Amino acid sequence: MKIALLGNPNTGKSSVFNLLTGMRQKIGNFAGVTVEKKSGFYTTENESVEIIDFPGTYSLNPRSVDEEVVSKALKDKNNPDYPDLIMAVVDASRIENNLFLFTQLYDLGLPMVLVLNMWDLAKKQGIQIDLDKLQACFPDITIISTNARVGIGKDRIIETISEHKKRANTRFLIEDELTEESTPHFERKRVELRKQKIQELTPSFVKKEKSQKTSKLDLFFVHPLWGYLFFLMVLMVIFQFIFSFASYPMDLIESSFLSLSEFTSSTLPSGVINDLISQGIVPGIGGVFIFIPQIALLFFFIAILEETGYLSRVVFIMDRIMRPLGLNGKSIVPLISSLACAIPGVMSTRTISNWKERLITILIAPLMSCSARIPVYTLLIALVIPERYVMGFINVQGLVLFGLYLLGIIGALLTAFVLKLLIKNKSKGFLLLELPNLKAPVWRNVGFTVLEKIKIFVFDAGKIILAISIVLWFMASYGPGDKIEKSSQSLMQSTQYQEANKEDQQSMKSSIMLENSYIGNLGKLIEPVIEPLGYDWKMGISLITSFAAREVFVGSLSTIYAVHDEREEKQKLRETMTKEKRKDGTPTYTLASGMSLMVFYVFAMQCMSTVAVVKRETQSWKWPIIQMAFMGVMAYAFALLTFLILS
Amino acid sequence: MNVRLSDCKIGEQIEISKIEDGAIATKLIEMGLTEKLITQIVLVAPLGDPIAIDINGFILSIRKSEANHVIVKKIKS
Repeated sequence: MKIALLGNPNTGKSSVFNLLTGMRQKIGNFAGVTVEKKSGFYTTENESVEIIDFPGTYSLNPRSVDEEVVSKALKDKNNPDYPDLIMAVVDASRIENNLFLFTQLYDLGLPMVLVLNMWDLAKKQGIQIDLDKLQACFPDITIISTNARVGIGKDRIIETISEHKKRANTRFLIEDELTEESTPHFERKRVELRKQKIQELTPSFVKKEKSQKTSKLDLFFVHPLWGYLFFLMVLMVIFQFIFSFASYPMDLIESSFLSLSEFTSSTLPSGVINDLISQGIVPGIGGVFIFIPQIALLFFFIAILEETGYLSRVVFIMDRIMRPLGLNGKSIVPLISSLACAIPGVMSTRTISNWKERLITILIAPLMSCSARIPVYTLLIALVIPERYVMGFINVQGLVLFGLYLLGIIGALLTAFVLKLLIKNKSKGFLLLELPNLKAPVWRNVGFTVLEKIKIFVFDAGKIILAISIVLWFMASYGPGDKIEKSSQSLMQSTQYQEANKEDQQSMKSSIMLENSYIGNLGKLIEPVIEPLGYDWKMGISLITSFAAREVFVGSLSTIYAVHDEREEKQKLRETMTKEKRKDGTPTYTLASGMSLMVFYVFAMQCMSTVAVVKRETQSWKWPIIQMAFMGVMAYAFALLTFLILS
Repeated sequence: MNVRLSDCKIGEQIEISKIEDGAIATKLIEMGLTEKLITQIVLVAPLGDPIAIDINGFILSIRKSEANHVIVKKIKS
């Protein structure tokens, strides 16, 4: 049996879903659109029941992509998601408002179960619902009351579903009475008629004591001073966690995969398979797992913000500020997260319901300087920026680092503005947003959200990341013809090699291997293109390898310059780089070429994992390719400009 | 006396008298902003926009540009 779980947003629909299906959940997308489809299973003695958790909507008249998915699935018998039974979740404390969607669902004529959720909250607010009278209005469906938030009602819901009533062909409103014509005018008339009937009917089964006052907490959250300060504090806490605290589990994952790679390399018989596993696949999987701590932490916080209803208040106070840029009030969380890492940032745009605003947020998120850029920035700053102070106390190196971050942020916001003008919008950009009751989070739901996001990342984006990293490994380890072999032979015959100690010999070998690999050749091939920016082929190689992840740039340079000393590698690398000369004898790393390189890294999409995640979140290769292209153009143009100005 | 919802102040008791036709009118009605509804603005964002109104306990946030299409009557309380 297939059940469609439907209801308004904020009715506790996902609590009901999690309650019924537990760990047996699957996440996918509805056919052809980027709307997330959650489905889950439970089994009774007799059958296996599939539940599809549809996006929350206020009406069946489609106005957004989300609503279109719902209306298509329910109105077309041939749709793969057409259900055998509708389970409608209604917030008992807002029953009159929720009845609009409910009666529309009722009029579809499918077997139906009505779950009156948040029964306790309704009671607390002095709302009394006479279940017998409500049942009398809708005689051919079963109605039950639950408190799914606290986990009450599971058995009763399952029982009700298996014993659901047959529909008696009754309707709440015969819409045909009016006319089938679907002009906006008649649509409005139909909606008004339904609403009117609901308003006439509701007093017969709902008794309400006087309305409540605006909560003091809400006045605080939207306060011109305290509201913003509180939000800033929330952002700082989140940022602190994903920026600093996530590094402990990340280091652990990194070192585990490093030892795993060493282990496979030493236990498996040496050869191509060994190399593939120990240098390609294991580090590739490690490169996927490394992101899990940041994703888990960010979604832990976002789930809490959503569960409590606070995120809606954020949109409320940020809307006016973000609107001119084509962004949503909710965009601020993904963008700040992207200052740590764009992967969880892009994934967290799911909370933005407007597709255009969500797309713009995804496209500009990688322009925010992430933590993977820090190793690149610090290496180059130490190399080309003198350690001086201006006005006695401002460190010039720190100032440059700050400038790079600022450049990224300004670049992101300006890009958003341009994209706003370029991207056409399917749905009208209005903001009708419910501010749900503030409540404590349901920890079970928070846990499910975190698990779900990790699963999406590891299985969907992970595949692409693994594939690209294997390709990159292959290109860095193998070369055209016998070039690698020949050049290593001539290296081994050189006196410099024979006089060096074993460790130096190893690094010289790696350096020669990389230089003559496919990537090495590619680096030399693109030299004419990157020469105007002040780069040579060695930097070219590092640019290509660091598409895996930006910080790889540093490791790649170490390999090329044959620097190996583990403890003082960075120090030594810096010394080698300072001594590095061009063909004409001038230093390779000057203020101009160093700054140009840093500016390049501010803008360039040097991160395959971001590409994979953007592909996953936009459901096509179109947007990641467009994104890579415009970021590449920006990187090249601004790096060129920087080099020309400074040299 | 008819005024626009966008010109009302926080806490004033108002009755919706008319929602002007437009892309958003039907959506507003679906969400409960019906004619004759008695309501008030309960929250105003720091920059004066958007505003939030109370529809029988359902708090709806709406931009001023949309509230401009809602004609209301002030009720003396």
